[in-house]
Amino acid sequence: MKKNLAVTFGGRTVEHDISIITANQLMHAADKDKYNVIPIYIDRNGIWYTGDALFDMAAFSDFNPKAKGVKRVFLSCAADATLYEYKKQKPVCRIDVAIPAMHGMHGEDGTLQGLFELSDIPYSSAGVTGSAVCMDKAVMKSAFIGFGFPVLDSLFFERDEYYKDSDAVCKKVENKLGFPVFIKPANLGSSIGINRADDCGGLRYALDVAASYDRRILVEKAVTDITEVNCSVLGTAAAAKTSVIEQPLTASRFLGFEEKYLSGGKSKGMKSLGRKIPADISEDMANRVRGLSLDIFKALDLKGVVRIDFIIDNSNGNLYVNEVNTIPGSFSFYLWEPAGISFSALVDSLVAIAEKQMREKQKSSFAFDSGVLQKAALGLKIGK
Amino acid sequence: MKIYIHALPYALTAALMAFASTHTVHMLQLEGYKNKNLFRWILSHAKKVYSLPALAALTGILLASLANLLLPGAARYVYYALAAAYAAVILVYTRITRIDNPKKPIVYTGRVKRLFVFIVLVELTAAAGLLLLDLTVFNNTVFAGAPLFALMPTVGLSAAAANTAAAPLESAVRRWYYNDAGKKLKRRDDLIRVGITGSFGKTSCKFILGAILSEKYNVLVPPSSYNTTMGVTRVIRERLLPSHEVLIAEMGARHIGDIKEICGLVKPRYGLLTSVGPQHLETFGSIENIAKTKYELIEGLGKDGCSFFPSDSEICRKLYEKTQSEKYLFGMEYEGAVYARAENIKTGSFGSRFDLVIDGESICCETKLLGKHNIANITGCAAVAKRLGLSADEIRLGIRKAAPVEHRLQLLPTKNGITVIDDAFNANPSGARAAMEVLSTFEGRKIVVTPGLVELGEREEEENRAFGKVMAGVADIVYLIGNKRARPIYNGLLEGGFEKSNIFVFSFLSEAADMLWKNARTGDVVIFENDLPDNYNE
Repeated sequence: MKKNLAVTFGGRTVEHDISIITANQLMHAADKDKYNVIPIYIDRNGIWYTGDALFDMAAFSDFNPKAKGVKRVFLSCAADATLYEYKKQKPVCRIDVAIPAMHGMHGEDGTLQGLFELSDIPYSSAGVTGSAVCMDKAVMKSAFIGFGFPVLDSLFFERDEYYKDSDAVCKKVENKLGFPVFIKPANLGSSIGINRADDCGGLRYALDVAASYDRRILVEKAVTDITEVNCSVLGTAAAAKTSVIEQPLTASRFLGFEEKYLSGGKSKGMKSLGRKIPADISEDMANRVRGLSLDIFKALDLKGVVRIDFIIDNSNGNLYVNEVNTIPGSFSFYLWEPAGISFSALVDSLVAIAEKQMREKQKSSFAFDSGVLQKAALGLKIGK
Repeated sequence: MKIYIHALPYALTAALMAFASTHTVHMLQLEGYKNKNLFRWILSHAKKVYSLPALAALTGILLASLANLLLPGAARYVYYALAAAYAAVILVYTRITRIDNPKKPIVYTGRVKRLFVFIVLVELTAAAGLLLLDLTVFNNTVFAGAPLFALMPTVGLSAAAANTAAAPLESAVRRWYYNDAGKKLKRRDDLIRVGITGSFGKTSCKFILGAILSEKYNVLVPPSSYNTTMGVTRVIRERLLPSHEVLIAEMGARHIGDIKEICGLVKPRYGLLTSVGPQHLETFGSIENIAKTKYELIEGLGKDGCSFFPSDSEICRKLYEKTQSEKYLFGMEYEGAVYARAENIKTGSFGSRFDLVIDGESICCETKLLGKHNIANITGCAAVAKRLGLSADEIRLGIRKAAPVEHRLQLLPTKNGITVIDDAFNANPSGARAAMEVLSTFEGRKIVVTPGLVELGEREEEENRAFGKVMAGVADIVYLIGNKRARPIYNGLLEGGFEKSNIFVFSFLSEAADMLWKNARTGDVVIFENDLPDNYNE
């Protein structure tokens, strides 16, 4: 029997459109003999829709919720793994597995994962904790430091702290980190709102931009002689494997949003970007990257397919972990193809991982029969 | 022929005509349910709206008459066939007038649904009239049955008639909404209500005040255009939540009594007057009438009201003088005592910085907003915020977070050391002068890119020349768009003593932009003044 595979995408996030592309790629890769793919589009107001019309990218350039083949749906919070039609409040179907193809806020950050947990739907991304930790760049960094993983020095600020005394913040950055630095909104995916600053003027500009995107701002020391490498990890915390290592080719000093997603045609997603596979690094360095990737995957309790971004300082050979994308663009499928894992097989793995984690969840006990209520009731009676 | 058989085609055609009115109803909705505007639209689209109905009517009448004349025996069957064909034509008409993918599709609001009911009634009345004509005057003549075909040209007219007929009902509906909103507010004794009015600056103030007050309170700030009685009513009914602690109501006025009516609903205790100027002078008659209308807000505050006036306007100071309840002045130039004052204003790529002296305390502020009028607006909003218990820190943070209105002296972020000011939505002479004043406060080489002021009618040439003269005293380089159009500015610039070699004229904005980015250097300040559509290439 075919499994009902729900793919959620869109969402209330600046990466709404990118998510649509990622989901579209995945839905086309999924084996139709194994799965009834159920597209679930979440619009910019957070309203959920399903229907066959959502397989077509053209539906989203000017989304019409009243179009033929589109209906509004919702998940209830009851642990019934069922998708309901909004108007009639009748079940549409059971969801056997969900693959969140969402980027950024309200999808990759643990919020949607929380809903799946409540609904008892097996899902393929990291759990609530892992997702949330990797969403906030400042907390993620603290976690890395806590586990002893190498990171670049950084500071983080509240927006109001910056607005109250901008000069003090700039001075602190100058004294503690020096230049150049990268300025990043803490809770945004992609590269949106990220800028590099080489002096105080640039820092003010970059902080202003970051502050317009997020309440929390991370300022990080920049490496000048840099090699960036990414490694994808697939599995569960208990059993995971690493992919081939890629080296994103950026002429500039870092990946800007436009460059990351919009270069080379709008609909091709991550794969069309310039990159070198495998990365041009020594075997020893590659082993370090892979080892560190697995350690991080386990430490942060991740699952599914993730992409971990690293920075190598060429001047001294130091390796730093930069960040984890718990739902990478295009699911990093292009890093698994060289190992003989097709996108279609990757989808099978994600489904298996989701189901495995659900079995683990069910093995843990929720109900502890304490009898405390009976005792309390008894107590009341005696009390009378 | 029995009357009910005869009446049937009339009734069906009338019903179909209501269906065929969808297009005109759509236009009526877009035109704000004003018949005058609908007629204007119909006149300019008469060919599309009436060609087919007129043709169908004439053909129908002609064929029906011919049938009566030539085939008296079978005339009745020909007539039914014609009526059926006529119905098909109406359906085709409905289809071809439908706009596919409209920018703003028709919304089936309660009002539109009621309008359709009235259209059906109007069409049925018209059909009944024609039927009567048919049965009396034309009975047993060659024209028997022909009046039916006169129904199709009623398209559009029936919508207008229905609109008029529905007016009393609509006003009753509005009154009900108004009262309902009033009831909802009545239960909210705790709500802090702030009214804002003025000839200009009230929308800006609404958003600035919203940004500042939200540092401390949950504030309901209505969207841009919601500044009429109906707009405010809707905001209260649809958006006011139990969690809201402050309601900011922007009050617009076109006629005497407008603001009084909104005050009757909102019952504000705090009133902010932004300005009194010659806006909508033609409907008010005199500046005194405008001042009086704006003052309706202060009168609406009641005895324990608390009002805020700009000190830099003499008319507003007079209104302040005559106010008996709690009152405050704010501004920057007036030398007398004020509650809130902006001092040491500096502008730069960061926006504006100034010292806000409020109730004796000085707060150092920074904002992305540019222009004296905006600083004045901020000062007024800060005064209200202070009175509502916000701390100096909260006020400063709120000011920092206030966002500029798009394309209105909007400072654009750039990384290349060039400051770009987008003032593309500015279209009036005083706004253009204000923009030049803002530009003059910047350091660095000043570049103006503009097609000049457009759509000013007879005054256009004169205003553009004056604009050029003012520009000459501020700009270092000027990029003009449109060879012919730019001539008055060009002359104005020369009259103002501007160096000819620093004026560049282009046919298209894109050419000007290419040249600009090639020659701009770090430290330059560029202002894009007025909207720059591609078709200004004369």
